[in-house]
Amino acid sequence: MRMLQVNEIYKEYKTRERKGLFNSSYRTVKALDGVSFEVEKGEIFSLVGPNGAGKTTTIKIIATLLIPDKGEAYVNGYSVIKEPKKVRENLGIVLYANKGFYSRLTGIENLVYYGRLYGMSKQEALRRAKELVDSVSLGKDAYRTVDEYSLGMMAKLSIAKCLINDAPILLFDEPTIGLDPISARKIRNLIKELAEKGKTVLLTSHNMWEVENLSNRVAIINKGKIVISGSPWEVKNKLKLKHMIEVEVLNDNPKLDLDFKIGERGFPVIKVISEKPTEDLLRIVDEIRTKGYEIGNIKIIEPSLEEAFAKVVEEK
Amino acid sequence: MRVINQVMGIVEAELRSLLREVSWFIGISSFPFLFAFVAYALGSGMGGRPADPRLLFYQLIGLAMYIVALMMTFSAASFVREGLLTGRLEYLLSSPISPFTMIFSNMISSSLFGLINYIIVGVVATIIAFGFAGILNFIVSLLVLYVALIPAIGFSLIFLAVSIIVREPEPIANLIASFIAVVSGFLYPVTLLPYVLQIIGRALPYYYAVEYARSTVQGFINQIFTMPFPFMFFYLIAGYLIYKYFERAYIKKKGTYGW
Amino acid sequence: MAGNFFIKGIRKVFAEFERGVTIYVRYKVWLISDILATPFWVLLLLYGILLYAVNYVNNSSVITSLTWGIFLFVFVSNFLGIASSLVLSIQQGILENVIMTNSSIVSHLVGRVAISLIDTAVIGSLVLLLNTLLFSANIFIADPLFFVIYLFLAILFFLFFAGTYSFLIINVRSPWVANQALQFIIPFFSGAIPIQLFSKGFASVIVYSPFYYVIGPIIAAATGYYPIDRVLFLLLDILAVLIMGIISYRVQKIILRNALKKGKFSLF
Repeated sequence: MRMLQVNEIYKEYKTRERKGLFNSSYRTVKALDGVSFEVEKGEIFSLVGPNGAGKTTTIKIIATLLIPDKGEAYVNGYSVIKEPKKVRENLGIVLYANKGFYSRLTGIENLVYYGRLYGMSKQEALRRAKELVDSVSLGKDAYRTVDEYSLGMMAKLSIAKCLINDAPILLFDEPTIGLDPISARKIRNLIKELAEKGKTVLLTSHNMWEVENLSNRVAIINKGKIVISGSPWEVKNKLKLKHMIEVEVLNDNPKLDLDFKIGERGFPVIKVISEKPTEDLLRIVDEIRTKGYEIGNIKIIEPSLEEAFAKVVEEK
Repeated sequence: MRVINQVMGIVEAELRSLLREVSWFIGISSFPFLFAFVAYALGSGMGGRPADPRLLFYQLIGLAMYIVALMMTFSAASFVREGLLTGRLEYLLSSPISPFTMIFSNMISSSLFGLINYIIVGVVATIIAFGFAGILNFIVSLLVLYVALIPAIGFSLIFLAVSIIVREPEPIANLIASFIAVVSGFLYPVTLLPYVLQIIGRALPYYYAVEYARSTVQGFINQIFTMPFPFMFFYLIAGYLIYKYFERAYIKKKGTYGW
Repeated sequence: MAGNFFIKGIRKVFAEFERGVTIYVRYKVWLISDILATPFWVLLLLYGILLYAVNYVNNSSVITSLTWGIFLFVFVSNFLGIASSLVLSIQQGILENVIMTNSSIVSHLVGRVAISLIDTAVIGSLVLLLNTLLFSANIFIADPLFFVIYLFLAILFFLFFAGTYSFLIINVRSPWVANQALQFIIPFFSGAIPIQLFSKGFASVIVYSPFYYVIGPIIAAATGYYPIDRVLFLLLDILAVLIMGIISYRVQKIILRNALKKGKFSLF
């Protein structure tokens, strides 16, 4: 079932550039240049790209907080332009990790406030807020005023706020920014659990490892255009990224036709960058065995999404 | 040379950001006009005929002086406060700059800002009351005002220390600003006030700054020589000593923000 | 369905109101500072105006009128503060989250209304008390029933006005500049100082201010001097509230769409 559909959206902004004390001029920036994608129910879809690529603009358009210049987007079948109220009922959103809350209210008071704005009774909102505080591991910090929060605590609170209305579609704009590794892992597990329970997730992040591990599908956006999309494996495959093969030979000075360097364990290691890792590995192994040497470790290092990202962005 | 570069760097950055907030600048400059003209219109309305323009001058120039006085008194504290809240202060202090150079630079930029504001309002006020003939006196009054407000630097140092030590210094500044406004005769002669407030007003340096600077524009330049300088400058020294005490007892001891 | 919608609406308003009160109480130091500073600001305003009419300093009835004028100044200033609260909400990234809950922006402003009402009650009462003690002003309300009705209508009027005005200044970084001008101009040229204190010419100008039909009746009920019949005043007051309500609704609809197009809720 298609929960999110973005059809050819365009958006331009005007920015002001200052020159000297009093002079300034305006420049038009193309934030989105015909972005299209769709997300199925229960899927985690990630939008990655460099700063200013158009990720947040896309999220804001889907969230009805920005009207596109051209194009249309649908959330659970509702048009973001014509039916914004219906769209909002279907969304939970993390927009900023460092703001969005009243600094003189406690974390839990902020959550109850937003819960009540979604139409819950005070008791209902409080019960839900307490549940969420536990699931994002905010713990006792939830009872401190937000002006005392670290960036990590704010990020946790933002995620809790996103979940307060139990919406079927969740938009996370850099949800784990500022979190320590343990907390970030908990949040990633939570996002996975939510998707397993049928929630649809649209995620943006600069952490490529996180995106690769969490997402069913990913799109790399650059200068307002989606350059490539698919599952992390498909993206890397489409870009024909090369694997790294490492084979350790258990001999101090082997006589081989292949180049090698001494590795961490003190034995020679043959390193080959390959487009066809299986064939190349068999060839290397054959040669070593033919010459009567013993093999230590074998490693095939897959290309990472980070490499795919770098290739796409740098080539552009 | 390095200190000069540091001063110039801070002054330029501060002036740039002050002048780029055009609405802020307009807001500050328009306040004296706004209040004085509203009071003038009400005064004229109550009297049934146009009120004396010298009263308009009295309030206009008084309010322009009030703004300069506030800037001299609170700008260093608000500079440090903003720096603490935004994290800029720690960057500044991690560079080889002495806190006094930093404060001094900020005072220069806010004094320049206050000066621009005072000139805009003061020129209009002077022309309204005395015509173009009063401009020369007005120029002299600039000097009188700034010299007479040097003791305010003493207060400035105290507020600076307070703004580092307490969690919410803004409400304290709000209270003090209101008190200074009432007792110092910016808007009306202090003789209208209850006796106790008159005495308090005369014990503060602001009263002398506003009285002598205004008298200068009005043509009573000779009165400058009767200004109680030693008494006024007592505040400068006292302010410095109190600041030093706070620095030793609280700021350095507790390592507040690496001061 | 309609009942559910109504209950949700009420819950939202209560949530905003409670949020406003909680935040107000949490700014204790500011509250104390405001209370302590009030006498000084009152003296400043009063003497600032009386510089033009020094002979009125000991005139109890004039001081009483000016006292109500300052009370209305506090009231209007507080309600103008509602408008800048919207800009603050944008800067703090709160408004976008509020919009996502399908709450109306006017209901969001209710939180600030709570603060304005409490602040007006606390500071306004202090102004009245101070002027009674310092200047022997007579703050006895001449027509209490109509005073309450007029005050209630003024709250509604200024809520709509603040809603409209807040949208007009949505991308102003320093809304206090406009507030500063309006907080003097609106009350003092719209009957906060009773028109009988002014010359006929000046008074005849004031009646052209649309705010006069909201502010004027409060002053009239407080001092007991009605320049026109109090029922007629009431009708004109209700009319002003209705017109402001309609303007508010229209302006918000147009500007909200425009703001969403230009991304004004997120440009800070």
